[in-house]
Amino acid sequence: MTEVDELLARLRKLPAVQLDADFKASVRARARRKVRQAPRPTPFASLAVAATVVLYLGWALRFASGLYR
Amino acid sequence: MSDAPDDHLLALLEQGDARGFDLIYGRYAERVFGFLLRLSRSRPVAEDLFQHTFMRLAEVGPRLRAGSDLRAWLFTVARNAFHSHTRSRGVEARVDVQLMPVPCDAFVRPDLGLALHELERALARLSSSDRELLLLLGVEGLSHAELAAVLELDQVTVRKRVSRARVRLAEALDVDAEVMSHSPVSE
Repeated sequence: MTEVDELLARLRKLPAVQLDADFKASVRARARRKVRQAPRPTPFASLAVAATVVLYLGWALRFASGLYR
Repeated sequence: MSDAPDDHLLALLEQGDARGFDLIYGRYAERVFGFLLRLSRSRPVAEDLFQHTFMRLAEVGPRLRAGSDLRAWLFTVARNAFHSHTRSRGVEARVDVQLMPVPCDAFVRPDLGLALHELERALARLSSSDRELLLLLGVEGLSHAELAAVLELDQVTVRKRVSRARVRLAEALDVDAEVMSHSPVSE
């Protein structure tokens, strides 16, 4: 084993660092809430948005054409 | 479940299942924190960056592509957070190791042998760019390919940088041994 490999082997022996238990739990709780708050859009939601846009544009067109009658 | 592969945990997270987050957190929290603490040499800074890293996981994790290297992703986020922090604070603060007997109070542990104390101290003497390379490769066991992905460099450059960082660590250890042998305080 060369000197440099020995260095890496020594680095690997460095112990893990302990996190403060309260801090660890508080970060976990905050992040967990964020995971739940990020629902993925479903195909139904996308269709509903698209339908709303089409209806709105149709209504706007009808309204605008009504102005020039 | 606790020894499930990272891909499986990412799939849980993708479904908005917080158990996926818990398992990833359980697996990587201490490792990411250790990396940030050794890199920043400051517990408050490491805690801020740690928080940022895992909040980012909660935000972006559900959208990570299947097959993503979760470990490399986490260390990339942590490293980028550290570099943003140092940029916002200006030039990295220089630490005079002669005046600072131990790099960080977190590493003062009675079960830690003298050799490992010296190693912690020598690591703290290095520049942050050398330190991050050696921490990721040596302590975290990332491969050169993973390291190249984290640092956004090609593997040849990474190997050259690692080689130089190893030499500088060996030099820092020699200097440390010299300082310790002339120190009037013995452990």
